[in-house]
Amino acid sequence: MNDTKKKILVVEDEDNLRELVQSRLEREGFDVVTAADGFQAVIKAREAQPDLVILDLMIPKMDGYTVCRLFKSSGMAQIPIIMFTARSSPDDVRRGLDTGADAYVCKPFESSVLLSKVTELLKMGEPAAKPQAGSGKS
Amino acid sequence: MEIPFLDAAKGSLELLEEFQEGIWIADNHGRIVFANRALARLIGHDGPEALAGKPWREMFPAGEAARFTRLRPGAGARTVAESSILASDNHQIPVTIALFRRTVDEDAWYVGSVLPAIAPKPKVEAAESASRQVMDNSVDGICVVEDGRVVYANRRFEEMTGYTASQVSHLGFDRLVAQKDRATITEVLSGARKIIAPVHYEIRVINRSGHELDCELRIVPTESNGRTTLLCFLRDVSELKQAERVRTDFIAMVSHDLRTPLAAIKEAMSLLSETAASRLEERQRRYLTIAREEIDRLNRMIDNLVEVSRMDSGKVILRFDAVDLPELLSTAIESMSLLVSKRNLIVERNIPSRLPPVMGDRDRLLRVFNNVLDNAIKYTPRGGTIRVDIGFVDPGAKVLTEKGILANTGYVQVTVSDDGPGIPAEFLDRIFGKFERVDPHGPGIGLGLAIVRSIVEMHYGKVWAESNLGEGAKFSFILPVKENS
Repeated sequence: MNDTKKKILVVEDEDNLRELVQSRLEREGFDVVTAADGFQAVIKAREAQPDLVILDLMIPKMDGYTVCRLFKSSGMAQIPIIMFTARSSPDDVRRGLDTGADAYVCKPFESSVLLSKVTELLKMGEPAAKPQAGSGKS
Repeated sequence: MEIPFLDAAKGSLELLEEFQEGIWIADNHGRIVFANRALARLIGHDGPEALAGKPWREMFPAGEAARFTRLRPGAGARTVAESSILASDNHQIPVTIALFRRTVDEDAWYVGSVLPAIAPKPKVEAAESASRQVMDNSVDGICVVEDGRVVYANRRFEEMTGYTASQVSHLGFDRLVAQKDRATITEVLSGARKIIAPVHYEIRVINRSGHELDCELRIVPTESNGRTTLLCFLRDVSELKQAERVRTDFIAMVSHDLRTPLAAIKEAMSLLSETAASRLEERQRRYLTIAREEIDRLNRMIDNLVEVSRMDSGKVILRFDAVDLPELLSTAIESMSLLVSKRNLIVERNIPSRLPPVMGDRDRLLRVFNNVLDNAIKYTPRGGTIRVDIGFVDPGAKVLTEKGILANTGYVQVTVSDDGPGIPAEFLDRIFGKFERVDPHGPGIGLGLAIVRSIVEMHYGKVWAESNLGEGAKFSFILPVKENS
């Protein structure tokens, strides 16, 4: 079972929110690693090789735009990134997507929206994959 | 030359050259036989030769010459009058004129002299010194440009730019303007682009120490003696701009900081209701729903606050595309379906089957729909009806002649009518202002409709409200049809 679990890196500097997102994803059957700032995000991503990253934009040490650009221009370019941010104006969304993010979710978010983005992106990454990676509850 | 009453041998003619006055002598036919250099200089000729043989009366404006004839100086008598003489470029120089007539052997000779009128000098000096004082001490930077050259710059101008007036004169004002604005300013100052009325620019000036100043520049053209002089008024608005930036950044920061805990509360509520739902009573579940609804409302308020602040600072960039309004309406109604069903509202749609797309920014227009519908939902009583009509605007409609509307373009109109209490006449226009509400204790913070107006006007559209008190309200907006559709 552990081998088939998809791994998600959640980068969020707010402890409570990070914990809640982690609980939500674990409830949906994902393996979750977390990071609280930009540096940690890079280190954890190298260590854990996640299948997907949920990335807050306003994080300490290195902002989300930079982290995103870094991932997308490195060996981790194929990992889908969901920008997860309180910046919700259409201009912000465009800017976020321009840096190479695969999806954009505004806070406060509907968990159903976040989850459907997650499953959608994971499915796209593995066209021939097993049925819906995140659908089974553990 | 022989002039009977002058003793040529004694050098009388040469003597006349010594006078400051312009002097001429004319013969019996009124033709000038002699003119001194002072006269030629006054009129603007290189030498007296240009005047020889000309009728002396032609040196004066028509009416004046006739007046001298009427004065008819008697033999030996002297007439003195205030008049003007015509300069070679036809402008009039005020002079005091003295005329003699001398008759020798039945022939009449005319001797005339003119002295430039002395202007009331002290007065002019006082006025000049007062206006110079005003310019020198103005809080705005002022410089005067003639033929592309700075001929004057006041103290404030020197302070702002860090250059002295003479340095500015050597450099040229336009050289102090940041590259992005320079071409326009150079064109105007050099006279390549002629301006006939005051013009206004927002420019960035780079001062001597390399600092950039946000400035407002007003250039006022003035004409004198057929030459255009440009008065340039430069006002430093850097601090104002800075304050604006601080405010925008502040709102962005606050809204970010508010949204993050809001997201945590919302997610906590949602996890709670999912994990504990089976163990909760109906009423307890209802409390959770209320909490979630209110979180969404708070979030909408923050959205509007951020949007208004961006609009105020001109930071909104629209991406125009073909937008299908009926489809957008469905999306908006969909997102409000919870609110609508909770209040047992009926939403009626009246849309023609064929409607061209409008030209617009989809996300922004969705916000327009959301805000207008949100407003209608807020004010429609339980069980009431909201009606949305979409259709073409009649090409002859008066609204299409209003300011800000595109000419020769078709428009689509959306009207949202509600069953609410209606809007007093004096509020029909005001409700589109920021923080304006009919009932100050009513729901919302009064930004939704202000945003609607800003967005619609950015789309070259118009929005307005109609209402009879007690009979509901109608909100309409029009948007231009996308060309070639």
